[in-house]
Amino acid sequence: MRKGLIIFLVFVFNISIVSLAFSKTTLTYIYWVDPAAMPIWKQIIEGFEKENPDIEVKDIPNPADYWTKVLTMIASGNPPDIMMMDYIYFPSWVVSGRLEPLDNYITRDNFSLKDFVPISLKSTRYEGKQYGIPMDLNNQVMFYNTTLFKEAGLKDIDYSWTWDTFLDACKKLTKTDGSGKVIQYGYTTGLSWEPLSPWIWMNKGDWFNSTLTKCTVDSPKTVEAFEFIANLMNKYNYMPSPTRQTEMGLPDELQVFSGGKAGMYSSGFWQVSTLRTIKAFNWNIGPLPYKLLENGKPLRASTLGGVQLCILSSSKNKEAAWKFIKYRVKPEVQKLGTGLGLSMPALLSIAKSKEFSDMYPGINVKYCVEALEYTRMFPTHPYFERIDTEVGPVFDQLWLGKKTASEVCKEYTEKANKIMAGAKPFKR
Amino acid sequence: MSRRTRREALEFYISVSPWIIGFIIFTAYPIGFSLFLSFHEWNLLESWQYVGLSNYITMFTEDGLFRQSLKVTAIYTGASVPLGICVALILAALLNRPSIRGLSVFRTIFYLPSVTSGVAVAILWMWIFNPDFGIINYFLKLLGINGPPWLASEEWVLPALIIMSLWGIGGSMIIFLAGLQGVPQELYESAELDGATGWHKFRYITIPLITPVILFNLITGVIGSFQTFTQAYIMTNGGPNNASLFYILNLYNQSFRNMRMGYGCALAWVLFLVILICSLVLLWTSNKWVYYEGGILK
Amino acid sequence: MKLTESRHINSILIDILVYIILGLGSFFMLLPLLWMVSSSLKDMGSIFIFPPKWIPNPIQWYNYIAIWQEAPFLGYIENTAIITGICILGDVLSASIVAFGFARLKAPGSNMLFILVLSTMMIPYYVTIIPRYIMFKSWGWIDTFLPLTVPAFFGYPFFIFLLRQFFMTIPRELDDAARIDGCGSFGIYWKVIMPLSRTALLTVGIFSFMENWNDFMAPLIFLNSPEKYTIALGLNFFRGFHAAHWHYLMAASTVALLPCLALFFFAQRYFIQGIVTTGLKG
Repeated sequence: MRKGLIIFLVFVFNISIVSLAFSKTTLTYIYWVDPAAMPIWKQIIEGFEKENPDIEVKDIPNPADYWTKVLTMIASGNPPDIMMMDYIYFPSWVVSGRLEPLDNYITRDNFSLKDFVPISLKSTRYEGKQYGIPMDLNNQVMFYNTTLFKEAGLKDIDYSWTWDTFLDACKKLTKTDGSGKVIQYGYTTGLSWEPLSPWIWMNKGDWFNSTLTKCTVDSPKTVEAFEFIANLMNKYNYMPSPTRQTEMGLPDELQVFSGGKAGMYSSGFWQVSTLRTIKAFNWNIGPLPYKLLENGKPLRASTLGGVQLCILSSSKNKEAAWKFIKYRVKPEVQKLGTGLGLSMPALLSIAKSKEFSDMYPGINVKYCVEALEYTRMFPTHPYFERIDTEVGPVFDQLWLGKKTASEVCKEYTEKANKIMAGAKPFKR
Repeated sequence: MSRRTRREALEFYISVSPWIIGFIIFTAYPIGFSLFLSFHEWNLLESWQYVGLSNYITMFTEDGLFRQSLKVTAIYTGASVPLGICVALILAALLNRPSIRGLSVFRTIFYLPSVTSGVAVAILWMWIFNPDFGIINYFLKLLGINGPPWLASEEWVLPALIIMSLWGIGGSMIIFLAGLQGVPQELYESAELDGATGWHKFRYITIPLITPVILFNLITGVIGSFQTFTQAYIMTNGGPNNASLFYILNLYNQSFRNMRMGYGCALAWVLFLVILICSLVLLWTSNKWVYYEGGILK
Repeated sequence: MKLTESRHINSILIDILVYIILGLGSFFMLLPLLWMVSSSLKDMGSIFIFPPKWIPNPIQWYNYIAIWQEAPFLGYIENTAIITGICILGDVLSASIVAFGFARLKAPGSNMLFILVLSTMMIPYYVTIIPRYIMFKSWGWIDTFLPLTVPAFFGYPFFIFLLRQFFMTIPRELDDAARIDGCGSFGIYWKVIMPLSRTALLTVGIFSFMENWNDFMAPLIFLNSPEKYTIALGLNFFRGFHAAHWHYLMAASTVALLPCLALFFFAQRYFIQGIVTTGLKG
């Protein structure tokens, strides 16, 4: 009996030694997620762990306040291995040295970047090095209520639409009740940099100069674009009362559109998942209207969105982290979740495929995919977050009709340049 | 010191020891660290750098957002705390009246809003306050009034949030209820024998005897109100044009969004001083109007 | 005769007025909650229709089933219940003994100490997150319930202050009577003060419940594994980053509200007038 016990203990002891030697690598992956995508992530992680039995993924899904959590973990000396990155914040992160450049892995593994959208790759590049791999894509397009369009005698939105066509449509769609109060609007959108940028770019304006050292919001073309939007609200009443978009993009503009109270709504592909459930009216997607011609062709623009995956420079498991990223952007894995209506896949071949557009019958997904050709990256840099938080509110005075566009743009530029004083060029 | 007093002092420190131990273990280090950081610049991603008093100097000389956030928070506190206390007290008094039927139901109704999840509450109220399609303006229209733009207006955003704060007074109401329970029934009975009316009873018995509870709600109301965050964060993001930029929202933005944790800590300590001064003033003046049945411990 | 009659009529009139006020107040309180329940029974597309429909058509009962599937909501409720239960116990015990000290015992430095206790409530939470995280990480407490429950056993200032105020309304004669009977200070705490403070202690329990049931920040920062998440975090899952499931959020919020409702309805029956009077006379 005693001998048996000793043999058993020795056996267990040896097993633990052996398993210790072959213990798994644990990858910590922190990310944000929409409710519908949760099961997809579970599937992806399980698939990855099955293919790589020596790696365990400890995933930390965040329902909200992602950045608070990541920053806390890093600041406390407990950084994750892989994180999701929004290119808007990328500059301040990369400048701090917290992100790992991926070029060595890319060249060593002959990892092809050809199927990715160039502007998406560029958005996480710094000083020639690639820091992020795009996981999905988004941009800005025009959603419109086809039921209201028919009522107003309007045709579907297509590439022929100019800003004048748009204004005309707004006029036909805006309705007032007996007392002069607007009960149906022509257009609505959030008032953050994301939906506003296409209008600015199409007017040949921009937020910052090419070296990203100075703010150019007070340039005449930019002011003109801001004035255009402000007029939609205050002069023509085509657009409803503005509420400044919160970080989580809460539903006021969405509310107005999905409540059937606005004919058009510019936003990103992710709205498809919500709008799909609407039964009260029909809707579709069209390209944003253009204003000017450049070299004989319409000057179009849309704002880049989407998520990237980055490895932290402090990670002790960079090899395993790289494997996870490669896995996530494999075509078969990319196809998972493309039917949810939350984003377009990062791989162009899949985004352009019939398989993808077939997932959304009757909806002109093609305009979103084709918009990728003229989608631009917001000119972000290490100071932008602070400018957006601290100086951004001055625009409220414009939207509320209290100041003119040139006054507000001048104020914004002055304050932004103050924050950016001494800024070094941010080269990609 | 007599043996008795020495013994009492010892007993005091024994009974208070859980808090002292907890303070040493859980609170002293974080608080000390934040004070330390307030003299540094830290972007959370790299190591911190010593900058002496420059955070504090910038705050008072250059930072318009600091001033604005202090103003917003002070106005909100000055309006919502007294208002909330009055309403909560009246409600508690009404809900303490034995002749009213269905007290349990009413009490539960008034308490429920204060336990509803913050996210759901914020979203619900955003819908309620929507200038064009929200319920409040819908009802106002029925009464023939053109409702203001509420959360979309610089002038009306704070009143909107103050109205919303009234919705959540279930907590203070319960504390008042508990306080009202503690007033001895005999006092009312003997007052009635002397011919006191309901109002007399309320004014000369109830109120004096619950002044300890009033003080409590006043001080905790001020402390809590100065630290308002969630509503502004979810509903207005400080807007429009910083008209609802609450102090803690600004602090959070500076610390985590702008990644200037050192500056955020400096802001925290200035707020601490403001609240401390307000509370001390309230405490010191409380001698004049607060009555403790169990004797004043001084 | 006449006096009591007119007083009787007065009383009835006041009662009517009270009913009116309570009725209006209830309307104000319930309206958003009814909207919440109404939205919880709609499908996504119908939530934002204007003018708003109070009664959904069709009524989507399925939402209440879907929330258990979309996120491990039952697990969230269990976790929250455990954390909340432990905290209530800790809060009541620790705050009452500390408050007793402040209310009844004299000692040098007690006033300064009380002010110190109060002032810990005045430090904004956000600037202590990182050092607390560092602290808890070094003890291995991250991703456990420990940071969320253990501090409750050391006295939260809010509850200490509350109970101190209440204890100070209890007449000292009762103390003296107990001392004559041979009770020491802690005997007074246990035999005199605590039994008479049932309402106040219940209030602490209710508040502790409220705080912990809906606490969002601490679970967000200190918990990593989704299985350990609490209700407040779980609700935010329905919000998502781009595309929220509002109907599920409202359904889940309603479900999260029910235990609070049940508990309070049950607990407030103990709010009975005149507990303090027993023992005062004779």
